[in-house]
Amino acid sequence: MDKNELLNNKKQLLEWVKQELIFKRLDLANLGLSVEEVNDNTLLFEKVGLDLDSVDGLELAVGIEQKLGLKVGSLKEDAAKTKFATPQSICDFVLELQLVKGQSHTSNS
Amino acid sequence: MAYIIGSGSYLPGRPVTNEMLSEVFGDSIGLLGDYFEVVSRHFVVDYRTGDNINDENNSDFCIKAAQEAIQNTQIPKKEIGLIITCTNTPDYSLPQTSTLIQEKVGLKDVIPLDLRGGCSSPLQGVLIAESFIKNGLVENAMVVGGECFSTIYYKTLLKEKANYLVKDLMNGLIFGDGAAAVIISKNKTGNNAFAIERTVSQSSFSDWPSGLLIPLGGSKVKQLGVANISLGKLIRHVPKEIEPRLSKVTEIVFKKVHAENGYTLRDFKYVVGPQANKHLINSLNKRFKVMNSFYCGDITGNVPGAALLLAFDKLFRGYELKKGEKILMLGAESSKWIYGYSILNKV
Repeated sequence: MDKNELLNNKKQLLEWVKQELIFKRLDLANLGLSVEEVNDNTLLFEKVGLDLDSVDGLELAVGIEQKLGLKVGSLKEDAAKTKFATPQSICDFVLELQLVKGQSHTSNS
Repeated sequence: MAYIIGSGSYLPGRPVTNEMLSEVFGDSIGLLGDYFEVVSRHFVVDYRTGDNINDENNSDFCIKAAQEAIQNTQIPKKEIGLIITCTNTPDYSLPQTSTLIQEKVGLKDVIPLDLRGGCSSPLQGVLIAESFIKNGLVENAMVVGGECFSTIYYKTLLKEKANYLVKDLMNGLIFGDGAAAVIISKNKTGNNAFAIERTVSQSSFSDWPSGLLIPLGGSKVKQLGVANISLGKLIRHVPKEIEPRLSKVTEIVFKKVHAENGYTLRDFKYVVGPQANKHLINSLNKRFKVMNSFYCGDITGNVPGAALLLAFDKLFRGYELKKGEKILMLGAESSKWIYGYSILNKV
C-alpha cells in the first residue's frame, strides 16, 4: 500500500501504525509480544503498556518520515510522549502533519 | 609515582557534519542529530560512497598519534619500553597493533600489549603502564588508543539507507574514527605533566545485559567474509540497556572515588567522563550534578578505545591547568560494563 492510500484511509493508517510502524519496526516479536497485544489505545511509553523509551520514540518518528514522507521535526520529550502516547494518537498526529503539509503546499502555490 | 608527560592525536579527514550526512540519508539525520546532540565526526571513508580512498586504517591513525606524542615530549624513542594499544577495531586479529606501531614509529625493543576493553581500555592501559613503571620494568611507556569503525560499517549502512533503523544509523552517527596517545614516564619532564595519583579498572557486572556488541571479527560470526552481512552482525547497539546501567556504573565510580580517596566532584578542575553521545552525558551530568564536565565526543564522534585519550589530549594541550589542580578520568563501557577511574594531578 502506498503512502497516499494510507493517508487517505484512517482505518488502514491505524493498522499500519500498529502492525508496521510499532510492531515490526520496533521488533516487538523479539520481546515475546504478539501483534494482537498492540491495540488502538495501548499506552506506548507507560510501564503498564509497552514501556518504550525515547530512542524507540525516535525510531517511530523516523519511520513516519521515511514511509509517509512527512516531516516530524524536533519534538520536546513531553510533546513527543503526548503525540506518540498510543497508536491512535500517532495516527491523529500523522493526519495533523498531513494537514499542515497540505496547507503549506496550498499557501506556496 | 608515574607521570603523563605528553600526548598526541590524529583524526582522519575533515569533520563530517550532520548536514553532510543528510545529503546521503535524508532529513531524518537532523532529527537524530538534535536528539543525540552530535555535531560531527571523522570518517576515513568518503561519506558519500563508503570508499577508503587513501587506504588509511586504524594502525595508521595510531602511528600518527604516537609520532605526535613522541614529538611533543621530545622523548628519545629508544627510551620507550612498553606500547599498550587500546582498540576494538584492529587492522588484523594478528599481528598486534602495538607491533605495527613499533615498526612504523621505529622503536627497537619494546613490550607490546593490545587491549580490547571498549571505552574502559585507556584506563586499563594507564593502570598497566603505571604498574610496569612502578615495578621498574620500564621507565617510559606509550598508551595508544585508536578506532576505525567506518571501514567496517559504513558501506553496509549505505546499502540500507532507504530503510535504515535508528539503532543502525546511531552507529554511523555516533561512532567515529581516530586515535590518541599519551607518554607515561617514571620522570617528570617539562612544564606540563600530570602525576597519576590513582588508577582503578574493574569488571563487576559481567552478568548484566550488554548495551553494545561488536560481533564481527570474532570466530562466532559464521558469515565472516560474506558480502551481504547484516548491520546487526557488525555492531549491535541496545540503547534501552545503556542509559540506566551507565548511570548506575557512574554512581558507583563517584562513590569509589570518594571512598578510596576522599575526593568529591568539587575537588576536580575537570571530570572527563565516557565520551558517549552528548544526550546521555548531559543526562548523567544533570543527575550527578557534574558542573565541571569536559566532553568532546560531539565533535570527534565516540572513538571508544581512544575516547578518553582524545579528551585528555584536548585538555592537555588546550587548557592551562595550575599546579595541584586535578582531573578525574572516568571510564565505562557497555558490552560487559568494565569501569574505572584515574585521578591525575598537575605537577
